[in-house]
Amino acid sequence: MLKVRSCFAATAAVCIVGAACSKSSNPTQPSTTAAASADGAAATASVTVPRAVSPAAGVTIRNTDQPVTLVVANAVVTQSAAATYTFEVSTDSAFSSKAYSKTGVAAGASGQTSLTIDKIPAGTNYYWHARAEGGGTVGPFSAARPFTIGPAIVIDSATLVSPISGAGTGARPTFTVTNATHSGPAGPITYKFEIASSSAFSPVVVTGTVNEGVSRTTYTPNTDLPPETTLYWRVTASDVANGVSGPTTLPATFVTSFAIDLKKVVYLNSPDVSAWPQTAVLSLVEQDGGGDGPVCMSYTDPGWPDSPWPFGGPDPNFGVYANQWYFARINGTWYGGAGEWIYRGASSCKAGQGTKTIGPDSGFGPPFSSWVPKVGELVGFMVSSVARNGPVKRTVDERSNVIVQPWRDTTLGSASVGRAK
Amino acid sequence: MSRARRVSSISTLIVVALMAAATVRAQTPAAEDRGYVQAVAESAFGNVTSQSYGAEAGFTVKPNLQVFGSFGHIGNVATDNLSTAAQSIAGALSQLQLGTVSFSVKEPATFFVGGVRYRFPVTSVLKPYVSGGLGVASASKDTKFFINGTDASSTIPQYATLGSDVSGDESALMFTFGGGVVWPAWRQLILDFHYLYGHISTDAPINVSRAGVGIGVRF
Repeated sequence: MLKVRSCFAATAAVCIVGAACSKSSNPTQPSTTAAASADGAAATASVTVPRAVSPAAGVTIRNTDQPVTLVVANAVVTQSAAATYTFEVSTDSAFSSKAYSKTGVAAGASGQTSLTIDKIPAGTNYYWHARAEGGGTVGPFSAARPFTIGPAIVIDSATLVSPISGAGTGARPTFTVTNATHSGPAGPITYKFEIASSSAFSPVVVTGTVNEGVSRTTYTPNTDLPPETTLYWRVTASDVANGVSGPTTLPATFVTSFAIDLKKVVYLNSPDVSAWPQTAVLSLVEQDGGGDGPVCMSYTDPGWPDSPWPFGGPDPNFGVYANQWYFARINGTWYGGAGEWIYRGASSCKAGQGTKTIGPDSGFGPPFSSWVPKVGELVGFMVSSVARNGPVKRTVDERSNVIVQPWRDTTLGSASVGRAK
Repeated sequence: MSRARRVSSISTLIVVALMAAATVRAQTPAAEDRGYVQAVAESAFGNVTSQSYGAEAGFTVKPNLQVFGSFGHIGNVATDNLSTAAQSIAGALSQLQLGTVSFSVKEPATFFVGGVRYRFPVTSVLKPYVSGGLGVASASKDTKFFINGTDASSTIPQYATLGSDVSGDESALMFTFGGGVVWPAWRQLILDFHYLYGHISTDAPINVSRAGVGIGVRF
């Protein structure tokens, strides 16, 4: 301002001197936009290029991670002039095909300035750069930095197959869906199964994620579901690598009517097996309380070791490796205990419990010892490694699943069933 | 304004000033001498110290009053603002590339000033005087950046746009005042020991003091 006033005063007095007052002229790198300070004559500022921070050069950004945020370290603008920034995104490094551009972005206060741009087409390579301006000077653009927006991938909803519509299940039902269709260059598809006690899926009881199967995908929980409970399940298909998920299916319901919560069982003359790993699969239980006794349990033998038999006999090396188990709900409480011994080379059918009552032979004690199952009453069956309390030593502490089914007695009206032996 | 135009303006100024001085002289009584011409060498003290040289001519318009015109060149009148701005840019350059960055700043100035000199009426051999002048100066900012010791002028444009705060020429009003003594060394030969304070009203105002000696002749 002083200069201007002085020049004007001098011009009035000595016009030639005034005429000689001139503003520069020839900055070495002039690209100023006519200056702009209050007195209209202040020197223009110098502006450096902002330093590109992110996205990093050459990075691929998942389409689902859009919108992209561009970040630069602030440029230096001399004279303490306020700076604004211009960001440009283009499909070519010469920026002749701009996909996005914005000017006048206020400088960030933390030493960096960022701009979240609009969504830009997927599956395309881009370049971005930025420049600052301030104090009447437009700075140079930063070097073009490439990045890629990943492909657009669409995943549809999977289709629930089973269980649905309130179907009854065991404690560990197998959930099956028809695979979700998808378009675009999707990566491996995974399916997230969620099982909950409410349709709002809060809280979720069990969650499991499995890889896609051939045409159908299945999932079996590795923990027991709560028994006799109406549960909801739903599935979401995802391409984790590309961050794309399909819509979550509508929930379906099922009822774990034939399940026992082993954590709540009262164990009689036997250890708590709720935490024992399930290494055998019990697939069939044949029982008829009206017959001569055998309860036959078909299961996969995981190779549980023998435990020496301490009660003597003709073979000093004789041993047993498993026990049958029985569970009964008496007065609202589930009781369970290890019963008949099983040894290799013998049948999986045991006669000791297959009478009107199942308790007397195993030393369970009350109330099992006097329990008389009723036809149709739910009874649980299981096999385990040696478990029964007493002189026969336990081995690996492993078990099968539990099958719960109605007690049958053909003499009391139950339908006749085949028996393994 | 182009350099040619500035030179033209300055030349015009010189001519007009000299004509004005001659006119004044023609209207005044004859003085003990008619005037002087001298070459001047000085040290210049501002934000930085440098050398200054030039020439000056004066005409006596009254017994104790002379009008003069002088022009000269000061080696460096760079201000703190220039250095600070260059430092900021150099700091940014250090962040933008891997090389070691240094810089130099220099702002030479060429000036022309016309004014009056009052000579104190003393009988001694040394003739003291005070003077004041008004004119124009052209300062040229010469900022250089070096990367690993090499002049990076060709690569700077990719890193920064230099504004007029660190580059370019600027012409602005200049005024001076000061004083000195003239010693008639031998016959018409004179030595002029002086000190002058100068102010150039550029965007970043420049203050520069000059102390030196002129050697010339009176006529």
